[in-house]
Amino acid sequence: MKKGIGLYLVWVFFVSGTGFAFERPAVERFVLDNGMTFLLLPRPSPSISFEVRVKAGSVDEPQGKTGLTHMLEHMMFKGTPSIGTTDYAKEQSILDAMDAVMRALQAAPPEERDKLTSEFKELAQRAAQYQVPGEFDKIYTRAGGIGLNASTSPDLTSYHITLPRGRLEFWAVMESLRMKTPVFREFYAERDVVLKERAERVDSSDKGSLYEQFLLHAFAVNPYRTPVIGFQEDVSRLTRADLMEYYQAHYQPRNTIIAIVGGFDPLEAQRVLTQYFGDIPPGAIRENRSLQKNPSRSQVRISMASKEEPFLLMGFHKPKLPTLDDTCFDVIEDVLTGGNSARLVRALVTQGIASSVETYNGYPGSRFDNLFVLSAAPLKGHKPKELEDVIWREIDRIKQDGMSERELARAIRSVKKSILQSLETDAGAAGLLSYYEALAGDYNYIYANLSAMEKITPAQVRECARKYLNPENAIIASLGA
Amino acid sequence: MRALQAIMMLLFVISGCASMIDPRVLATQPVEASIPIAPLEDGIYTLPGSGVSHILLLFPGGTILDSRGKEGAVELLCSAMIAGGTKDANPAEVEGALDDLAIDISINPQREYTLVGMSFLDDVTGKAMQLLLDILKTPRLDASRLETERGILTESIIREEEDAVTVAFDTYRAHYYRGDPRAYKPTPDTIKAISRDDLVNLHRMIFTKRPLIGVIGRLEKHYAGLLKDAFLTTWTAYPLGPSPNPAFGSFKGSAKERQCVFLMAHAAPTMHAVDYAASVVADHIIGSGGFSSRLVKEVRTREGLAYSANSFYQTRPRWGVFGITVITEPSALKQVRNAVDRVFSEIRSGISEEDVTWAKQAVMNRYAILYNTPAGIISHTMDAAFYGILQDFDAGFLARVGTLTRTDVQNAALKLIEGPWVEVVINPGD
Repeated sequence: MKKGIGLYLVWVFFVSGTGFAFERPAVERFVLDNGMTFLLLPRPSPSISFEVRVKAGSVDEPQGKTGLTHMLEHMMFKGTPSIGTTDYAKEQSILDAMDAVMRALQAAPPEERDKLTSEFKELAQRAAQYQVPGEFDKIYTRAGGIGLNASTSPDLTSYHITLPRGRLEFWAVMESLRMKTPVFREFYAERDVVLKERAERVDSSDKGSLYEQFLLHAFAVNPYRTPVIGFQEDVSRLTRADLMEYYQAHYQPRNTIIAIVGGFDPLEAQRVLTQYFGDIPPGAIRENRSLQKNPSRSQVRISMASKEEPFLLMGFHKPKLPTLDDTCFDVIEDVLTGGNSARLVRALVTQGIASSVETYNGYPGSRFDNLFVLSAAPLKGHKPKELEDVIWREIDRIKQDGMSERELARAIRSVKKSILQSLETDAGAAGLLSYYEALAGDYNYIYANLSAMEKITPAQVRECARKYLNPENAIIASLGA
Repeated sequence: MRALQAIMMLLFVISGCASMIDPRVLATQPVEASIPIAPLEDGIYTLPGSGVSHILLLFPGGTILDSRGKEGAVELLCSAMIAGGTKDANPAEVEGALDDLAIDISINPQREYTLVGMSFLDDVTGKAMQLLLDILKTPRLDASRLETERGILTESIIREEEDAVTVAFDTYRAHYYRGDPRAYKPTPDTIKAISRDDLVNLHRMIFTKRPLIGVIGRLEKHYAGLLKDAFLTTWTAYPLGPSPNPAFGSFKGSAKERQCVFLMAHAAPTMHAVDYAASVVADHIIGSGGFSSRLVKEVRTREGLAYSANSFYQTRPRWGVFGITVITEPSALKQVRNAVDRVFSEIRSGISEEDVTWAKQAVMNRYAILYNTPAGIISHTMDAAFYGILQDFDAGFLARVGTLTRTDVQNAALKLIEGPWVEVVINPGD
């Protein structure tokens, strides 16, 4: 053994023997009477980051209305009766007339469409006279906001922004206004934008289509079958009424988790949050009754011809968090791809077969049973099937021999570091805390999962691999096979 | 629908929202924060950390050092240094140690400098430093691993050709910087032509000179000394490339991805130009200020022609570039061009006082938190140090923004939107 590496290994033993303790941030959970939950983490910072998580995702969409959650996310930036308009009373009646003409247009015979289209355009122009496009965004940017954005996942809709310190009340005014009275103006142009977004993300790329097909085949029924962005035919039929109905069913205080991290006073925060959000009625949360457990099935295989470079996706059905099996997959993820010395990276990338290999535990969401996913891109001259064979070989190794204590220690240390790094920035901490509060019911799941990892044995990981990483539980999709 | 909205409005009034403070008023209140700078302590830019420590090293010299016909050499060197072991440890041993200790080391070449980053938990500072210095000072560049990295880099170049946005920017650079190293991109052939000796020479050019050093976290004096003493040769500023000699005009290209990308760009004021501050504000109004900017309002909100539409204004002491990108469908390209023309024409007819006030406040208020993470602050500070930007630049910039008049911003906007342009369309359709 050479000088350098000998020293490295001695140090590893020391580290894994002692463990690495870290200080948990002092987060305060503050729940309003209406059920809205805030996680407050004040700390010295020039800024404050806000992360709003609404437990409304594409899994909550009714049949035939795919893309509804995502469309609503876009429309939540369109303002209120007092923001985005010069005269809401006049604008509102035109918006209603536009809805009526659009309904007539969609049902009209061809000979009537030109007339209705002209009528619709004329109404849109009249509405535009009262509209102030982008005013909601404009007020936030004027206040110095950065990172104003939102995202929709199968599980959640998330809204985030970072503002200069001292802007807590301003944020509370803005967000409470849009939570209480959103106005879905400019709806039809935005629907076109969403269709363009779908074209950009999915339809223009075979890889995008592959991911869509992968989920359609992996889940015979909801929850995770349909794409977040929606099918084109569904999105093009969405109406403002659909959005309002969905909004009222799901955007309720008890479905809303908000993390606030950075430079603010927590007592003052509680006063402000109560003042602006405390009067929202608790409402009733409507469950999506179409959610069903996926039936067990045999292996599914999809292959798409493509001019694009080849690509492989493999998924295995597995339970959601918080379960021991889900935690075992966190360990398996690290053992397979958690660094350049991980098993699959060595077997595929170092060996010159693939340019990349990645794993993901909990795809496409975590509210329901989900998938453990592996993806890999072959190097020129190699095919997805070769990669798949290597992956099966490495899976078999885990199923037969399990893993070493060294690999387990490495996985734990890696997760600890990743938690600390996420907590380093205000926005990162707000995102992490709110995510687990929304999905696991308690942000402390971050630490509970770590403790669970520390108790896991290599034998448990091996049993987990034996139970789930099997051909009959797999969905395999390849591009350009 | 109307009934639902009426109920919502009623709730709105009942809940007392009518007495809320107008957020437009709150948004104009001055911010409390000041512009953060990482202090230079004993030759190292230092900020406190929180359990994970980070070291950043900025070495002068980046991809601009690639010689003609061997583009991609600096990038290949950087990946081979990470993957190729050290003098005392083979690649597998180094990778194993990094993973065991949860140490992440990255070497990222930019055009004019190369950034090395390392993150580690505080209990392994000594080993992390040893690994970092071994990788930087005595990389093995193992022959087998070098070939693996060559294959991976070649594959990534092939895959980049699928991405319409990447192809658009490559095409733009090829015409804007024609005749100088910035115009040329790596290809499978140039990667193939790179020898190990080329990499050794480049390593000597970049990684033997003392870098700018930044630390987030606690670094004992002993380790700080190690870092500073490891690279003894001082450096003078590298040439940052000749002045561009653009080939203006319209250029088409194609990508495997079927999206159409419309890009137009040209030279813009440098960050030392008298109209720099006015240009930043003008860019905010034209297309980088989010949903309220003219381009986004016209192309996206009003016409629904694209999901992605924005302008960009990038600048350094010796160069500046302004441009517009829109990602759309080939069938909407003509409408997008017309929409861009309308935006330019509106700007020519005059920017309002209200827009100028909004953009000035937005630029000033966000500036204090643009670099609000430790990594952001230290990178910004080191970047400024590399380019010789004085520490009071930010304060001077903000003061200048505060004094800008509508005419200043209007004139800067007119300059930004006037041609000649390098215009690129990828996947234009029929």
